[in-house]
Amino acid sequence: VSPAEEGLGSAQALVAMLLLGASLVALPRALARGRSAFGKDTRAIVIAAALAALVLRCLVAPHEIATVFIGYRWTEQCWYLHPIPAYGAGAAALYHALFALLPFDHASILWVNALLGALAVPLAASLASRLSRDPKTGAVAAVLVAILPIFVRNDASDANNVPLIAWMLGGLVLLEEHLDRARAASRPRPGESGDVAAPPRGTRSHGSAGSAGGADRGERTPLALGTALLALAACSRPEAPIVVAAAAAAVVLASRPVREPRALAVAALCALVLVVPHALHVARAIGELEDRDSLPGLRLGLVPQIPFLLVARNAVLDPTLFPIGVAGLAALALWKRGAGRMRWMWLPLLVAVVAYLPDLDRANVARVHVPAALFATLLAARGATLLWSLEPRAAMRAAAAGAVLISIAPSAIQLFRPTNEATEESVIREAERSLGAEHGYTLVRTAFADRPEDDRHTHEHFPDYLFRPPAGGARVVSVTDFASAPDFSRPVYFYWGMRCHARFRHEGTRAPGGENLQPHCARMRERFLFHPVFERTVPNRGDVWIDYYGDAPSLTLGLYRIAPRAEPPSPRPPTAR
Amino acid sequence: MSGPRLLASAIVLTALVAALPAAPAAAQVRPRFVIPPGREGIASRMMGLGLATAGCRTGDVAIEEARIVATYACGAQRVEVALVHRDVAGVARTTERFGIVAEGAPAPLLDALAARVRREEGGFEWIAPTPGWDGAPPDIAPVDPQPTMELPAPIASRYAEGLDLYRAGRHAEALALFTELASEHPRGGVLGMLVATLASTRPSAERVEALARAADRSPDDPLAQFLAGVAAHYYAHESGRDRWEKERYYETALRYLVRARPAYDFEARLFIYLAVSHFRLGHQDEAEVAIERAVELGGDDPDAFYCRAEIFQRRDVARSIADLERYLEMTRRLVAEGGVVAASKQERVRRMLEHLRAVQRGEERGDEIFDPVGEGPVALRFGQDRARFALGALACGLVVLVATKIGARRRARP
Repeated sequence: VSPAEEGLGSAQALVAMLLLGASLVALPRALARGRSAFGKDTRAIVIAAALAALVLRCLVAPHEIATVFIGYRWTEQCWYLHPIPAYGAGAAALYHALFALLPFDHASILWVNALLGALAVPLAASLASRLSRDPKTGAVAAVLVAILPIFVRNDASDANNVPLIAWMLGGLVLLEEHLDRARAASRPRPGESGDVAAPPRGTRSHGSAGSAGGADRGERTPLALGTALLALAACSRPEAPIVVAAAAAAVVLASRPVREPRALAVAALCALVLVVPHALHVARAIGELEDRDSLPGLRLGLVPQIPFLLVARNAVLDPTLFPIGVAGLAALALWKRGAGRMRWMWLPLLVAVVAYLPDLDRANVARVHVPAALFATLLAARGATLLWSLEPRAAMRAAAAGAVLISIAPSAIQLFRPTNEATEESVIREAERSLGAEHGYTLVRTAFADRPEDDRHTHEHFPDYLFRPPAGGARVVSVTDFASAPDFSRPVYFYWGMRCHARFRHEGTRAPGGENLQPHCARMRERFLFHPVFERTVPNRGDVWIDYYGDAPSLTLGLYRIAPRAEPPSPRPPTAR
Repeated sequence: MSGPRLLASAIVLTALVAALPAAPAAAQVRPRFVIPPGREGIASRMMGLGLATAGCRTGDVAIEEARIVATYACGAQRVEVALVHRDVAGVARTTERFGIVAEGAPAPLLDALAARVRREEGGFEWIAPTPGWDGAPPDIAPVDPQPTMELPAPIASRYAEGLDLYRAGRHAEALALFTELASEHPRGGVLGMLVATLASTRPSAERVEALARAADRSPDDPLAQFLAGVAAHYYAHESGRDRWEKERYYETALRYLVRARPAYDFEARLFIYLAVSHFRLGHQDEAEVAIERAVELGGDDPDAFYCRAEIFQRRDVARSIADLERYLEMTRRLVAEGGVVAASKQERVRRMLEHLRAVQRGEERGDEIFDPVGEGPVALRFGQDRARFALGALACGLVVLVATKIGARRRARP
């Protein structure tokens, strides 16, 4: 790491800290803005939806690592913050600051995400209500964001786009507030005439709420705070700057005619300056990924494939990830003229799908397309209220609502399918509990170093921090390190996890037969004696999100105390453990 | 004042507040280029050590962090001349790589010196300072002039040759010699000298990686494992820029030292590095076992006691104090016998002793004194203290909140 890169990292951390501080003021303000976006009846729906979201995310949905083990490394990166993770400093800075209070455990991140996910519900509702000028649209948006499985699963996971979405929605709400105030301030007084949009039905605009239209002239706090939130969101993932910029542009376009364009330009410039360190960091990270051939999608050859990929690799169009009924409602909103200002949501929706094309596979589409799904859901909320107004018959309305609800089922089934990765998490937790009181021992677990050169894509991340000091008393080593100089001067345990049965395969490759036992684990078994601390035979859930596993119906995992083997290895197969 | 202006003021103010604790560190002017280790020979040749230059006799030649200083006796006049980087302001003469700083030096001396520097400077390169380098010499192990056991005659003479090279500051040459010697005869203090010379070259991250690769290529070569482990340990200690990097390199050190242990289980130094690496990774029990073994094997090595002091600093501060006192006593004796001890380390140990005594009296909190994290080239560094980062964010939030309130109040005025 050169001094220039160190300086860049420090600049990113400093910007993230400043923006994080500003977000403490900005986010409550954005939430407060929601109060005036709804009437009494719709407000109750939004509050109920937010509470339902909280319950679903905190109590009902399983809290799981959704990144195929990468969440373990992400947790460690957030704990240290330096060097800045490849994703950027925004979300990492939030977790880093919270780690001052919360334990060094990925569960901390999952809980923070669950709470932030619930917080996004009223923000999404507020934005939908304001943009559509229809509180009912806001209420429907609140319900959909609260219950759609794609959002529930994402918020109950380690996905680093959860804070991004909350900040982006908050920023968009404040940006819309500024545009609304500016418009109200420029509204002609009695006797004057002008081109002014009507305030939302059943809500108050700031102009109409104030004592006089000019009272809000020069009030730029919402713009400043919104800019801070949008900049923070933009620094949270590599592609976030363009997604956030597209969303902000959509809100501005939807709020035309734009008053005070100069203030808006200054805000955009400030945001740009704040995002520069992140952009430089991302450019460097892309270069490194390209050097390692880890970003094969980023090439000119991708361009002609974009139309195909937009359909084939698009969570919004995949009924097993995003309900087809909701996607249909979004299409209706775009098709019908009644969508009004909400129609501009197509812009961030499209950008949020295209932005991920260079680095998109089945393993992460359900996670990284969540921002796109959010914009589609806002459009769908508008589509639902349009359908409601177009169809006066109660039976037809009920049938439409039922069809939409039924269409949620496939995504709920797919997104909450049990996975081997979730099983791994439960076995790791059992190992943590089993070793909790022990000190001065060695824990051997598989690592990247144990894999052959042609197998560098199997994620070998492991939550060492749960076992190493200060949380535990272990020295955690790889199979290779331990086997090169076995040290039995203190207790040695071997964690036999899912990765002993996992090896990355490219999509379309046939799954290997049997347990897919990896050679380094087999060698451990041959070389040392295994005394189970606990052993679990678990069903093999197969390749739900990523192609890793064999086709054996079950796998045996566990924690073993190991000892030197005095005799030649037993000819028993590993399944006989 | 409008919102954006208030926000901008708040951001600037908070940045200033955040920068305050780092201000003293930032005030220390760090040179852009420094002299790499092992350049004593070329420095002596450029300055004409032992020669007459334009009628002036060369006295002492000393290498400082970013300059080579020599004194010359020109008749009754004594002048001091320094070679610095050519970009330094106020130099009297410049060559391709150097500037010559001299007050009152006769012109013929300067011309002759410049000519000699031009002849010799081809083999010299300035380097950027290592991040975290505070200018102090590396934390090298004290060197005993005597081997710890009687060595066979040819080995003993090469040992003495290596020791001379080490004393002359020709560390690269000494390292090559001791590496060769250790591959044939690792006992009798040869590994100790190898460690001392390796530490004096201040291994860089690239050097550690190269040694680690070499060790991986030769898993049956204990010397390769030992060198990689020691280099990783010293890199973590001397140059680790944050806790994460330190931990990474201590882990690396352990990996290779553990591999070297079966072959070198007679060597106290191996157990010292094992113990300290374990301790700095939080493995207190392993650290205690290893350091006791180190003291058992190397009771005449002051560093064994220094490291035991570190390991027991929180468990038994009285024992730590006793060990540091013993370290100072042993190093005093060593110096008297002609051994090499880093004066800066002795001074640091005295400060540590004072600190631990204050901790014992309950006047101070136990700080990380043995393995502090360097400040690095950037004054504002985050990521090492989550609480500080969180408080910084809260302070920013508070400033923004106050700014928005003031703004709202001003707008509300009629």
